Amino acid sequence: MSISKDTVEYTAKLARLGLSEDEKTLYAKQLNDILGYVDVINSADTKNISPTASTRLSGGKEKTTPMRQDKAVQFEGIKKIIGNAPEQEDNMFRVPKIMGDEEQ
Amino acid sequence: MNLHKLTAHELADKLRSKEIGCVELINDIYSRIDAVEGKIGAFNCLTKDAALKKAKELDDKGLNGELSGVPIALKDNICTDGVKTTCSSKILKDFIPPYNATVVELLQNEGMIPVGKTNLDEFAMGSSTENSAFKTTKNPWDIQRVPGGSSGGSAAAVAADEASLALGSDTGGSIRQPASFCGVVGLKPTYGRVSRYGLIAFASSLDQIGPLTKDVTDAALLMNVIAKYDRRDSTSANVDTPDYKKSLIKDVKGLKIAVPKELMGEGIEENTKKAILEALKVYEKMGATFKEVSLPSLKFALATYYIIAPAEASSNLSRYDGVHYGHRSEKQNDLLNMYLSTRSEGFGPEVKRRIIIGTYALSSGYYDAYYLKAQKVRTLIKQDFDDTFKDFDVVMSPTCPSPAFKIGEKVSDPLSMYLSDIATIPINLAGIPAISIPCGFDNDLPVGLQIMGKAFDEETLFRAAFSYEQETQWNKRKPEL
Repeated sequence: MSISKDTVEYTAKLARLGLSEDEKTLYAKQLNDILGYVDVINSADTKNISPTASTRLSGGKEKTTPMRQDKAVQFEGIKKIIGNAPEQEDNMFRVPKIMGDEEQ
Repeated sequence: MNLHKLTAHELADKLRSKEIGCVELINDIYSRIDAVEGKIGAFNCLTKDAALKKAKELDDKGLNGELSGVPIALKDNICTDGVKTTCSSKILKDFIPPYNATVVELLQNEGMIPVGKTNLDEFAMGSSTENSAFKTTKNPWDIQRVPGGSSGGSAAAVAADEASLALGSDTGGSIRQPASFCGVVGLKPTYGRVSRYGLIAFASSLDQIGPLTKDVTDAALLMNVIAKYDRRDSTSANVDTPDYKKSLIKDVKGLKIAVPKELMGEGIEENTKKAILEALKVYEKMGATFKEVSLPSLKFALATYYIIAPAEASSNLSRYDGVHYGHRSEKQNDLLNMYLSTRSEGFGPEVKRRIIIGTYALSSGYYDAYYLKAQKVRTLIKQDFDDTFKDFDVVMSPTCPSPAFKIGEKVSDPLSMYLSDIATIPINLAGIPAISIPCGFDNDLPVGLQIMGKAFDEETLFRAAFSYEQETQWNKRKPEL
């Protein structure tokens, strides 16, 4: 399968990542190389094999992800969080207008 | 006195016996940094004032834990309250975390002294630190060469005696590969052994924090500090941590070693292979046995990784949107364009490449063919290791196919850069622990031996690594700077 520049452009938009024309050309080529390489996994026989999302989901009771109460704890450093915001107002994050001229 | 040359446990002994003081030690470390950092470039930032203040406090009030007073470097993707944490990315250039990572809290409770934050490939994606938005760290053994990555700053800092030990993170080899290239010890603990709360996420099913040190003893002592259950990391294992110091015994009689032929064949340089075979003979001499085995699914490991890791990364990195923290583009007239230009300006080429690969692999129509398939192959890889550990205690291989490569050599060919992680990646996929220790030199460049173990059996790794280190003492050789 071959990845076109249009596919790169579409994928980048899904990821909300702006790319220059040069980048689109470069990534299309590199993606073809990389996906060409990863295609080797199609030769692996995975019939009746279940997927592993995390190695901590199997391996005995004491070694799997432990359960705990989902309890909210007050975070004391709110000022420090707001202090990192690119723009803020009245202890809130300020963003540009959401309804733009372009399609969303 | 050249205190900076000593290991952490040697320094800890001297501090405890009051032969030296903490302020004296920290001053010595910073004068070493002043002398060599211009050449090496291991750090993104130094925290000298805070370090000296802490040192004075320890001198006045007394030491806390076993490694109290010892200077440590932290990879710059580990959150430090009030100290910039950048991931070597433009998008987090001015980010000041509002809290400490759990490992940082644990170091502080121990009384260890952070000296600075070390350079890395942007968001830990890379094998050379060349993907850092700020600078490329140099290998202390040859400054024309890369230190490895992504924890290249941490490995170079330890090798150049700019810190007594360091923390790194390892998603596909990012602790072990730079440890191998810089001639130091690097451990990727079992997935779930060390809390990742406050580690800036790259690929969450693979990431793990671990030590980079001058010898095996230091790695064991640092693991005693950081390996603790943490309710704030949902993947943290609620298991007892053994005292790893007890594993530091020279005894491998009867130890059964498996050597996968898939990691000793094509792509592995001859001199590297030779060094590993020599190491195996040393083990044999000490009473262990080794046997070549086959883990057939390993041939799929790199491909599997380059689907799973970018897929998880594309999801994790969606948080950098210019809203809550980090860079926000000036070019903005609405929200969508703010996202597009913020991320375009903030991320470097490798991070963009992986976001695109990951987004593509997760996108409608390709999810089953790539992501789900890769997760199934991951099961095969894990099964191959499980099967091997039924008959063997440890698995050994080279950590890297070759010694450190030259700066610029692989930068324009991402696939050849990825191939340098071929022996380290399977371990993250399987979730098991592995340690890299120095096992010789190829033209004055360090070669690393990788020892892999069963999940939650770091003890056997430490025993095997310690025995070899005692027998050979490769770790005693130092780069000339």
